[in-house]
Amino acid sequence: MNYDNDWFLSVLTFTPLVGALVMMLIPKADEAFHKAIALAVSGGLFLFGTFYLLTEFDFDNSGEMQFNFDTNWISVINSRYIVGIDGMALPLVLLTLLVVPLCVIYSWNHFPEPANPKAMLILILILETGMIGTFVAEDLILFFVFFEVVLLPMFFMIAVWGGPDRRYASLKFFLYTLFGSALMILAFLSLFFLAEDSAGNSLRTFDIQALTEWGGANLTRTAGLLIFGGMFMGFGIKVPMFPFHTWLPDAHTQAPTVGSVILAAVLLKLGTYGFIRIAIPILPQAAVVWAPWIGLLAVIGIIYGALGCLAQTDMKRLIAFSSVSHMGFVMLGIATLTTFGINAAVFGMVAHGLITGILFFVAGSVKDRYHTLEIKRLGGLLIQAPRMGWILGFATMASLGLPGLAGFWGEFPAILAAYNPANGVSETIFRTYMVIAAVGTVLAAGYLLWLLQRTAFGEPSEEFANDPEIVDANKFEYVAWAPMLVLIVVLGIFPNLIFKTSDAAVEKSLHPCLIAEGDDLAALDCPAVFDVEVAGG
Amino acid sequence: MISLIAQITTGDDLLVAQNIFWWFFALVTVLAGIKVVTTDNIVHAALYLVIVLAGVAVQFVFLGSEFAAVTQVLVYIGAIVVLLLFGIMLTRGSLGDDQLVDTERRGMGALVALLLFGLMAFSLVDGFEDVVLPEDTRNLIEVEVPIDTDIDDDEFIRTQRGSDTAAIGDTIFESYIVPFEAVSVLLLAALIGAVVIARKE
Amino acid sequence: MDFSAALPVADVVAFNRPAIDWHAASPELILLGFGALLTLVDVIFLDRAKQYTAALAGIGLLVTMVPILTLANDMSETGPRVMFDGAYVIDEFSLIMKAIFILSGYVVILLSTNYIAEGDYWESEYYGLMLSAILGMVVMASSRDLISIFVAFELLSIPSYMLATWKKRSLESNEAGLKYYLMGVFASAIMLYGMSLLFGASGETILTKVNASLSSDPLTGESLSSSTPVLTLAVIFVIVGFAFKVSAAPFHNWAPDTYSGAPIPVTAFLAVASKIAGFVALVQLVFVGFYARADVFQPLMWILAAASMIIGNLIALRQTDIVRLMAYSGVAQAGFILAPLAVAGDVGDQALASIVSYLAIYAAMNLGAFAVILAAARKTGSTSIESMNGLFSYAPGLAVAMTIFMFALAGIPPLGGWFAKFQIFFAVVEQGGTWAIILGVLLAVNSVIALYYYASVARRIWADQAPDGDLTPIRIPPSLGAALVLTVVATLVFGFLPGAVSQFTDVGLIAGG
Repeated sequence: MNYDNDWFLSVLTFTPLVGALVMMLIPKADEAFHKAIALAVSGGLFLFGTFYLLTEFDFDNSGEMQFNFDTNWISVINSRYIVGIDGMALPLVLLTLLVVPLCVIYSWNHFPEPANPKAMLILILILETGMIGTFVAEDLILFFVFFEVVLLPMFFMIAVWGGPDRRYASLKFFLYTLFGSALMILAFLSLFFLAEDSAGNSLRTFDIQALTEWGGANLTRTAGLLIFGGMFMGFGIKVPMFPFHTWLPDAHTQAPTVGSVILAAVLLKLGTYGFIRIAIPILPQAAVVWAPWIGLLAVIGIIYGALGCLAQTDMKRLIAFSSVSHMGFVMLGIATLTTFGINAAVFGMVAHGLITGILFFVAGSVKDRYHTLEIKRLGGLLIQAPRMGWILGFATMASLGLPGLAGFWGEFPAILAAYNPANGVSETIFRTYMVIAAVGTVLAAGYLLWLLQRTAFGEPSEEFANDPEIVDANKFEYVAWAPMLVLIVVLGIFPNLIFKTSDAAVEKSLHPCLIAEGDDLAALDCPAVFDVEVAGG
Repeated sequence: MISLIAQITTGDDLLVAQNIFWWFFALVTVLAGIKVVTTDNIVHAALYLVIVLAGVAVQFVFLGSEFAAVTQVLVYIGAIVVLLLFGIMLTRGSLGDDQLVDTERRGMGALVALLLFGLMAFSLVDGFEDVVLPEDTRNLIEVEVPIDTDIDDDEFIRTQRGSDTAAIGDTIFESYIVPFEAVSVLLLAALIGAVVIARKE
Repeated sequence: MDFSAALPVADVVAFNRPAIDWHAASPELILLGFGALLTLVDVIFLDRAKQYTAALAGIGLLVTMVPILTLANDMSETGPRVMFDGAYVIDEFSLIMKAIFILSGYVVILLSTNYIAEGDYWESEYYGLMLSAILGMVVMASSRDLISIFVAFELLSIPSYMLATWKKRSLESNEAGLKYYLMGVFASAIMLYGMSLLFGASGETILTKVNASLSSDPLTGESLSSSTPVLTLAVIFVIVGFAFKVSAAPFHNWAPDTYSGAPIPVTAFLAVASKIAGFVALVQLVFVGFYARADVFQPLMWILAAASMIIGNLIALRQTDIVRLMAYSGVAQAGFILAPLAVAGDVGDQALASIVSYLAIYAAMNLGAFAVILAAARKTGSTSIESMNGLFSYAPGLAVAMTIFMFALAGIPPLGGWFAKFQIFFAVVEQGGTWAIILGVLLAVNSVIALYYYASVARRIWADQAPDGDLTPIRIPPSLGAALVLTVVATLVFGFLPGAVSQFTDVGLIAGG
């Protein structure tokens, strides 16, 4: 392990914030300068960060936390500034590093009303700090702070640059998430006070790794379940899981394109990441009890999201509901509590980020040209803007889980993992979920093809047939989309790029009693909650 | 209170007289208090208030606390009620009966007053029922004063009369010096503020 | 007849001049000196002195900070300085609170400078009264004695009553002052009655001694496992008296009318300094005076906290005037600050630390919010929430500042308020009983409700159009600008480096260790 690179993650996290502060000092009128700074900061950070991570990260030890930095932060409550990155966080950090500069490029020449690039770019950079910070935080309080930092910029992005209903949508987004995080912080605090080692000494720490090692030992069942419940509210609302998903379609529909992309590509992952980094590793026993319920909500989300898609008339809203459905797959993978399922979930997060990101980008471009996203008024995109139409077609194919593209590796293994969930989790229940989720993929194919057919195929409708504004993708759009399209293909063909990185970390994060088999399991002397259930029993 | 009645019935001459007067003044005080809030004439209300405050002063005397009694008379009757009367005279046209003084919510007020009285009476009786005031309420150490003494008369008298009044004076300038000084600032501030508020623009 | 035999013989000890630690008393004395100087300058130079009075008051406050800092510096060597048998104590807690009072007072004077001069109100008297109210607060922070607390309370209240009516030509201002006065006097009466009961039961005025006697039966001397009616009544009365001052529900009715009628700088003063003083008194009473009677004050505080949060927040949702909104949000904030007192008997250290942090952060963000309201009102001339619409389009700096304050008040990381709220959660969860957890959930739910109206204000600033399309920028006078910078910086520092605050707020006060 390398010890002289402990500065790296802090630089990664706070560079965008420094960029934002610099931009605050420059007058608003100098728009080109602002754009240049934002691009230089986010793009430079992407190049530097990716290069450094890919060369310096020890992939053979991807299960270990690397680039660690640990220093005093709030000594009164024994909360420390601890950052680190392992194979589970790495793909998500890279995703964030990639998406932000693409958003800056995409919005280069068409900032939504009321323009003001300075403010919007500052918000995007603050968002980047919050997102990276959440993925690298290794202290519960630090995690909480970064988790909340993203709320404000997103709120303003929706409230200021959003659609006609932006007031309602922005506040709804904010209130839902804050409600979850308030309960989450209660759960974190309870952990702090209740965590005791076997000798009865209170741990009194917020260090995620230390708590993972402790793994919920000596905690009463009720306390464990309640604490997990508090975290479930915090993370589940962010994902969002059924029935807390109602903020998402509103937020997505009203948000400006860039906001939707960041929201879909990264923000939703903060919730799922919380599950696999915090909730399940720290409280495996409670997770086993909760798993069937999480799985249930996940499959309800899959089906409900899919059915919701079929009922939508607005393209963006449809994509938002498809997000609910896809995040359902991710949550199903997580709920199995197996290495296989959670690896699938990590892959699913990245794949969903790329695919839904591109879908929202295209939807935004369509909106720019047609000034509407009403599906029944659209049509003939392939004729009017053929390249954009093909990109939309490509993204929908990836989204419905076509083998060979990234989406497939998020959904298929998750379904497969449900066949054989972790020790102590009922197989019968999860196999039922598996069947339901499989139906969900069929529905997904249905609504996505329907969307494609109504918008891309056919003749352009009369009102837009000769509209000069409707042109094909411009160079900014190409530059913004190309990396994502390439990655969708590359990851589809070489899924091991992610699986290999995340596998060791996922395995390390899971309690041995969850995943051990046969004699190993017997040797572990596990608590009763992990008892293996006979298949079909 | 029960013990007081018991004392009346069992005798002890001095206490009987004291208790009869105690009840008499208590009754007068309470009745005057009721009149303060029921009368329609605001000047009468102020005058009844004098009786209430005087009644309280008498109670202080019964408790052997003449300093509090004198202060009560000086400050409340001598200053506050007089100020009140000045206020009424300077600000109001009519000095007769005024129906506006009467409020519709007197039933509610009476109820609250009764409840509060019940609550306080209960807790006070509960807390202090068995408390008997010490014989020497001034709680002072006896000093042997020899008959044949060299002490000159003045000092002797001062020593003897130095009751709780002197003790209060001492404590004000010893342990309570901070609040005492703070009160002086308070009075000055109140004076300045009152001038500003009362002045015409 | 010779009565002298019948009279008891007095024990007249020669008068002992009390030992006064002049260094410890110097903040109060300096403040007093500047107050007197201000009045003298006004009397001697009349109108010619008018323009210097604000500066003089401000300098007075800054000079007062000097002995506070030297005392803090010496604290590690000397330990707490105790005067008058424990009636007046200079310890870490009192120094921090004094610093908060002085600094918030300084910010209020910065806010007042132009407002009072341009409004053609009485100037030097204004600052004189302001200084005496601050003196009352500074005295309050050290008072560990029932009488000192009461006098300090009156010293800070009575000038405030008059300051609230300072806009003499405005009927609302008169109403504000009168309402505040009547409710304040009523509260004082209740509190004083409670104090007299306490004195009757314990025979002591010094809080540590009161605490000792509260833990045992005043008559039998046996230790009390549960309270007696008279002690319960006494504690409740005293606490209710201060509940008025901190505008805790259901004793909050005066606050909205007073806040909206009083001149805005005075409102800021009442909402911040005066309220904090009420909390300081409550904290001293609870932690030093009543600590043995946790069975009385904990349930009472629980009810006050829950009621204040819920009532304050729900009414705040419907406000159309930003000052009234701040008033009701202040009621809800009071509920938050009272919450740790509901668990103080079990987790005293943490409860105290959380309150002190909250008060420090609350002062910064609330004063800042009022500074922005004041600045915006310079242009719009109104305090309706609509007047905030589109602030971003013509005063981006003010808009960013107001956004920071609103979300800091809502407790969104990384702005100052989050750590304050976090500390409260910390204390409540540490206690961990069923009632504490219910309170914790109430706190969580109420943070969300509060976010609704804070975020609504922010949304108006950013997303709405300026009322009449008038986009002329606001001219911010230097003193107001300084106040804004101070409060923004404080709010951000508290948020990013909470360790910096908690290092100071981790103080001890609890009776008997």
